[in-house]
Amino acid sequence: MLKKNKKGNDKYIVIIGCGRLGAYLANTLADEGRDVLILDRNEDSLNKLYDSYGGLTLTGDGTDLEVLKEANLDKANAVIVVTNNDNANVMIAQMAQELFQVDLVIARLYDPERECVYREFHIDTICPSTLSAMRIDKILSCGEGSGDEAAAS
Amino acid sequence: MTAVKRFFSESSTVGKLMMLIGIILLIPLLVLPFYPDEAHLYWAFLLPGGISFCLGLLLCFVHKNRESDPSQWRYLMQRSSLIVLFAWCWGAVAGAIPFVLSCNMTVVQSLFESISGWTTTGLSVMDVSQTAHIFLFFRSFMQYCGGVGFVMVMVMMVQEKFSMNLYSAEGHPDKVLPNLKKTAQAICVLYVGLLAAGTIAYIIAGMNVFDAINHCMCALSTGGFSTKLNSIGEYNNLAIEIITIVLMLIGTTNFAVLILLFRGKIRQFLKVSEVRFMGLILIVLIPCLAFTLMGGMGMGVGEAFRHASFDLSSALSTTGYSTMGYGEWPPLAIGIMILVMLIGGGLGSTAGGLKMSRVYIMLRMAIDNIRRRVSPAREVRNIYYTRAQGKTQIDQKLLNDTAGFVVVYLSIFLLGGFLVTLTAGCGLTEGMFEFASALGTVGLSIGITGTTTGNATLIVEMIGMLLGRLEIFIVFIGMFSGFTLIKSRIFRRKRP
Repeated sequence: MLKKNKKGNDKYIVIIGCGRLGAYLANTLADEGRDVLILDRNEDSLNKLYDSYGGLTLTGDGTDLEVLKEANLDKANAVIVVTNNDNANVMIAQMAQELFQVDLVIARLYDPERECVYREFHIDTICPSTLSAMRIDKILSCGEGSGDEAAAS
Repeated sequence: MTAVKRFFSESSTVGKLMMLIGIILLIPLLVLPFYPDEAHLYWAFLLPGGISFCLGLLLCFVHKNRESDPSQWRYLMQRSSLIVLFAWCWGAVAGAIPFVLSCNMTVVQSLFESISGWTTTGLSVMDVSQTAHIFLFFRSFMQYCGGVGFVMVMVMMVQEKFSMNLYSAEGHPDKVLPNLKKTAQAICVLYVGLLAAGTIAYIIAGMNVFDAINHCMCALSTGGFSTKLNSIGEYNNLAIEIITIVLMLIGTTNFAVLILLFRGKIRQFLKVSEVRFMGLILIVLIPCLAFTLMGGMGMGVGEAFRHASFDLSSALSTTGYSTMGYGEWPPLAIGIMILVMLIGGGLGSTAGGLKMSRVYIMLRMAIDNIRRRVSPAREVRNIYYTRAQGKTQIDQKLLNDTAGFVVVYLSIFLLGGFLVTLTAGCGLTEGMFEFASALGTVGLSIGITGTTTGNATLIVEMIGMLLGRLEIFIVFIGMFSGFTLIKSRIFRRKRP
């Protein structure tokens, strides 16, 4: 059973937090035919999902252990924590890793200065501000590069 | 293999559904080796099945699903309702062709038989004692597939981008597993397993193999076609009746709840409101019906309870097997049967009717309303009910949906009942009974529907059956979107 779960498309992914990012991820992953469950504390935010979303939804507080148990977190192959609160994200990610032994936990955090906390717990993080900064930096340097080329020719 | 899969997941949904219906029509041919003297009937199935399959395949090659933005919810909802409606109409027409070709039936009678099959009703205009085995099997198999639903069977095999819309348009409200395809597969495995178990139980109780398979398919899908003239009553065998009651009640239970049961979560199963409500209805109404029968027809206690429990379960689960005719039943007993047929089975099962959940929610609302009148004005109260997925609040949206459905359902019931009395020239009680039976996809007959019934009555009942199986609104939305589609085509053509 475990072997079958690890096989490619059969991954069971739990997404916590149905904001713009969470909903987008859930829609895309469910479209690809993966097993998805999305969890949010506010039932209205689940409306961001498309009608064609084929996975499960659950309303409840992601920091509540009972809710996480109901989401079958112990069977999840990956947990993506994308609530709008950094502290909640740390806590849920830690719970997923320590209590449910999930292999892959990805969390989003807004504040890049907190990354060291996550690093200590071996949790992968995505930081929108760092990513945007890198991307902007890349565009800027590209712009300069092409500008130089234009000047040379 | 993957290339084939990809081709089908991208090709036209309508084409796939047509292919599926073609395959379903071809499957009864498997019966022929066991009954070689019916071999001359092969072309009645090969022809419509083959045509439907080939047309579907052609459509798959010609027409691809257009890429569209999933956020256009309105367009998508209309499109999926239209597709579901088309699939069921196509199924009705294709399923009628074998009857027309070789059964000496008129077109309307064949259509009636076919719709009665797909919608799991079980009203019949055939004389089963003179019908070939292959046709009996075909009728039962139609009910078995119709009970699960075309879209469900299709989703089990190929999943495409908008399957979820189609799936909910066909009236399956539940997701059980975090993946639609796996949900459909789990339900189908459950169904096939139950079919095997039920068939074996019937054989042990003394049926022959052919009858066992047929009766089991029809009981599970809450259909109610029988291979015998007097339905289950022909056997007069207590064991067979008990097996049938169990199968019917399983068939009328919500798929998600069934999965709970078979995973061994008995306590959670018993907490589900619908299951409790079903238990309550059976416990209260069986004695009522039994006492009415004892008083009105002079039956003994044992006999009355036996008939009452069987026929009441049959009506509640919208199956339509019977152990006796209803012609001489006292009016109160007929009234109880009409009530139970209106209530119907479980939401998201193979059954029809108003659905127990809806009735339960309406009753809870009524009780809450009375309570609110005698409690302080500022008191805040939330009412909950339990589904397979857990406790759910009965909020305003759910109440509105439920109330809307109940009102439309009851209006159609009254209208249809009147139309049946008009067209068949019978009394009000009989007309109401017969139309409640058709609209709830039950299939019990008080004697109006038969080989000699007029076309007008049959047409009224056919409409009732389709509306009942597809949960009414889908039919309206589908027809509306069909009209707008045609209108926009004509409009576009005129403009340049």
